Amino acid sequence: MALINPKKKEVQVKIVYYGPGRGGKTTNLEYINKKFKSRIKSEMVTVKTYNDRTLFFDFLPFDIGVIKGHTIKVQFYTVPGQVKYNATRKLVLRGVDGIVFVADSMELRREMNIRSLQNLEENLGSMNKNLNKIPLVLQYNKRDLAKEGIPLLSIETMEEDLNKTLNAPSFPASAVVGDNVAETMKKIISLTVSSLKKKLDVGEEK
Amino acid sequence: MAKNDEFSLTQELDEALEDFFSEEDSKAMLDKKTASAKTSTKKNKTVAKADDEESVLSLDQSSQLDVSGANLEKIKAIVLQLEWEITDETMESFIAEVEALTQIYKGDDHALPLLKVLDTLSRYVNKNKVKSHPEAIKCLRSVFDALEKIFTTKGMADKQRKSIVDTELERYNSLKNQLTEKAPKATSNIERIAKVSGTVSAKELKQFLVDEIRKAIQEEFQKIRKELSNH
Repeated sequence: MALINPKKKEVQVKIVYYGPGRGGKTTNLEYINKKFKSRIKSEMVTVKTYNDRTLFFDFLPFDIGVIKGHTIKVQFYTVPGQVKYNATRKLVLRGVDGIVFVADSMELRREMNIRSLQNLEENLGSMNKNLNKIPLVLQYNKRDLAKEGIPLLSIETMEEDLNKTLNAPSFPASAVVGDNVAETMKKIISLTVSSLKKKLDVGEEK
Repeated sequence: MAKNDEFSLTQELDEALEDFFSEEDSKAMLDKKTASAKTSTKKNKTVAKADDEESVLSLDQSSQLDVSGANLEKIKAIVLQLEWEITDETMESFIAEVEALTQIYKGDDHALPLLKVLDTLSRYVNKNKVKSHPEAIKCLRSVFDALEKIFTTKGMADKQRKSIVDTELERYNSLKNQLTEKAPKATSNIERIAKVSGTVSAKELKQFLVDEIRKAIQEEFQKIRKELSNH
């Protein structure tokens, strides 16, 4: 549910980074916040537990500029990946306009990726939203671990497990190094704003 | 038509995203912005000159103000530039030009108070950048305009000069009062998030967090109890 302020000519969209715990959602936002600090001009808010896990969520807002005469403000959220924090995930998902699903490429995490995606679908369903209809980008994170000899899932396997029916754009990435982190973010912003424009056009026609 | 519209939106959006996420280092990006702001400043200046020709002498035409005229010219460019962006670089050169003028006019009873106000305001804006009180930039511009008028209007009577200075000092004092009276209430991260989010209210979020913390504490206690009973 994007917020549109016709007076101020502002459009505010909400994008949520979703995925299993320890998958690298926070690292994605931290990388962007650090790399483009001078352009972001706002603070990233992170609420962490004693062992450095996201307890509630991370929040990073910034403006990407003026498009078609409207200032586009984007708010990024992450959700806590741990299973027990489903209530927080639901709260953060409220009013979401676009989602990045950050999957963990480690072989050991295959099951968790699938469960987390199912959980996303269920949570969206409880809000009468459909994962197939919401702007979505998949990110297969931690590809850098291959160099360290850690067994990783192949991209084909991950596509088969997670993206077979969704057919969403996907990126192999490394949030720690920064590979494809900005590309993932650019893609989701682009999809979300275009989808919003389409919705508004349909609304106007009606 | 709709397709064309969609194409141009995508193109505009892609360009904005390329710009935002470009690998070009942020310093170079800032320099580029400053350069484009300067170009616009030049255009604005030409228009402003044409408008003001009747009552105020152009800085270039003022023969008695060769030295300070150059400083004023630089300050004027920076004041116009502040409409676009406030950077460390612009504010530092602003402060330097004001300091230079203060040296030249240290014996001038009318110019000196205005220069002091400019100095204070520019330091405030430099520190707070875009978070500065919106009136601060307006006040800074107004004080500069007054200063320029005093310097460049031929044969201005002392009484008129004093009246201009008093008006600006009054404006500055009123801003100072606003800034000291209403120190903004510190807002927590939660309030800040709720305020900008628009999808969750601060009250709702706080209650939710309190419940979650309570649950987490209860769970921890249960674990401890369980461990103790096992021993």
